[in-house]
Amino acid sequence: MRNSVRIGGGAGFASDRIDALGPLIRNGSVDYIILEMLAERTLAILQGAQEIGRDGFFPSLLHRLDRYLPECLEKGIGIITNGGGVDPLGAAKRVAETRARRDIPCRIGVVTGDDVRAAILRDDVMIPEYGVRLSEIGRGCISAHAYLGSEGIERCLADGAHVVITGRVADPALVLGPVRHALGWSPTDFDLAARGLVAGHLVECGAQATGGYFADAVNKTVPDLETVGYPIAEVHRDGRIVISKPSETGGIVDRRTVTEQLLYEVHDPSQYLTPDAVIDLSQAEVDEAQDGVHVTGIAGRPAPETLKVLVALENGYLVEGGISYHGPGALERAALAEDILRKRFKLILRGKARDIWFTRYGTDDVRLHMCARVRDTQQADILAAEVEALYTNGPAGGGGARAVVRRSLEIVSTLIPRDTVSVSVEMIDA
Amino acid sequence: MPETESKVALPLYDLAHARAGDKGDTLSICVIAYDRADYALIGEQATPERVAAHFGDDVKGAVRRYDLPRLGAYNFVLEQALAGGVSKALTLDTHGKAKSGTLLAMTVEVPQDHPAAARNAEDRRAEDTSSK
Repeated sequence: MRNSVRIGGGAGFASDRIDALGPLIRNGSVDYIILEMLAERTLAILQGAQEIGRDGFFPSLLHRLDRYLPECLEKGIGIITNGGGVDPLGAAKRVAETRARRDIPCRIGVVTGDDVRAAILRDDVMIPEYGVRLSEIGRGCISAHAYLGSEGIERCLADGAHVVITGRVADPALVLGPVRHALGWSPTDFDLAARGLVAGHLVECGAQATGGYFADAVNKTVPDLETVGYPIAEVHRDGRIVISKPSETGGIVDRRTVTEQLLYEVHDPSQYLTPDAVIDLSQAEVDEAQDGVHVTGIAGRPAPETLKVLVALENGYLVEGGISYHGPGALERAALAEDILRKRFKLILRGKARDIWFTRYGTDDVRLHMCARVRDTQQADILAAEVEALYTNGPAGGGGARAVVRRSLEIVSTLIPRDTVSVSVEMIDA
Repeated sequence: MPETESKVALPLYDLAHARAGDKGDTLSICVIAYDRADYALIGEQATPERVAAHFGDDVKGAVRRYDLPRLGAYNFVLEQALAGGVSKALTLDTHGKAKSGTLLAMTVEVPQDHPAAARNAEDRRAEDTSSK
């Protein structure tokens, strides 16, 4: 058994920088790279794409693997990603079909079981945010996925997977899986689990631990964000975590960047819930040392009896756009444009616009910005045209009119008993 | 109440840095003191009540604060603060990512001999000369 394992955070969302993987692979001495690609709304968007015959995963997963998988296989670096979206098996098959350098063996593990749409429809679950059952909300349920833990990932690695592709798993589980596998931690040691999860929490947002989403150009200066290095967590057998980044990259890793990321999206620090363990960050300490930033003092407790599920509901269409005015009276003209749009929307929709929001930015160079939610695409297209109609029907000197239409999805969450979900793994020898 | 005559008002920005995160309609903002010596002072003034008042109508629910003295940090959790959350809000900044800046604009009072007060006065003098 080894004494430590090094894991790089190679993507913090689907459209993150692809070339950041290069330095992690070449200068990071990493054993594994995780690619976190699913924001809260992402699966619903992919479900929608799949319904109209497109892939249920992001092309950017394929772009990353096309470019970097051969090098990872050569160096023995494992890849763990939730970039399988709503079709992890489809994603794995595509990677298998399209991969180059077939002289190097590649085993892809696929984790499924997160799709619980059928189960929550069958049980007509309570939706706490509304205080009613799903059917009572009366809107189409596009998708429902439970946050799985690290179990499926570990099973794939134990079965020799070089690449593990999942759908929805808790982001830090992407790291706990390989850490437990590499260090042979007991599944019932929750202090250790919490430490592996915190390592995951620190690297799963990419550059957010290394100077991204941090610099302010005044008090917190960060060098070379255009080549910012993505984070590496070295996790030791006793659960000590050391955060660093590859050599010859921009950005910084210090007490401040790591502390900001440690608390990112945390509510009560003494009980940060994940499917693998409840993390207690309340006594955490962050210290700078020669080999990176040390994070200690993390404790854990057994995981909750329920799993969190994100449910996506139909929610009409959004029209978003605006127009600019400049010079004397720009604010007054922007206010007049808003007034005209409000009245036009009322005429056209006969009061059927569910929500409209306006704001104005600037004082001398003013941007009027609007966003409206309507029932269908036809209404949305009409409203979008109204923004452009301000050129010739609105106030003097209006420029840069823009409006885009997109489908709106509402994400609500609920909890389901753990035994509602069964995790399956499948291996593909590519 | 301490006397305020010998105090200088500064934005929290001069003493701390912050990062915002979102989960549904709940906004969380961690505030981290640059200098541990300012931790207590920030805690006395950046109370949940004051933070709630600072955000005003933008935050419809409860504001809670969790203290992390070992990190020199406070974690604020603001409920019903994102106009319905990222999937529902019609606002531009649906994640509330810019609201860390909003919080750092809140005023805190420091003693006149506090290093940040001296820095702040220097900055203002420099601004005055550059605008002439």
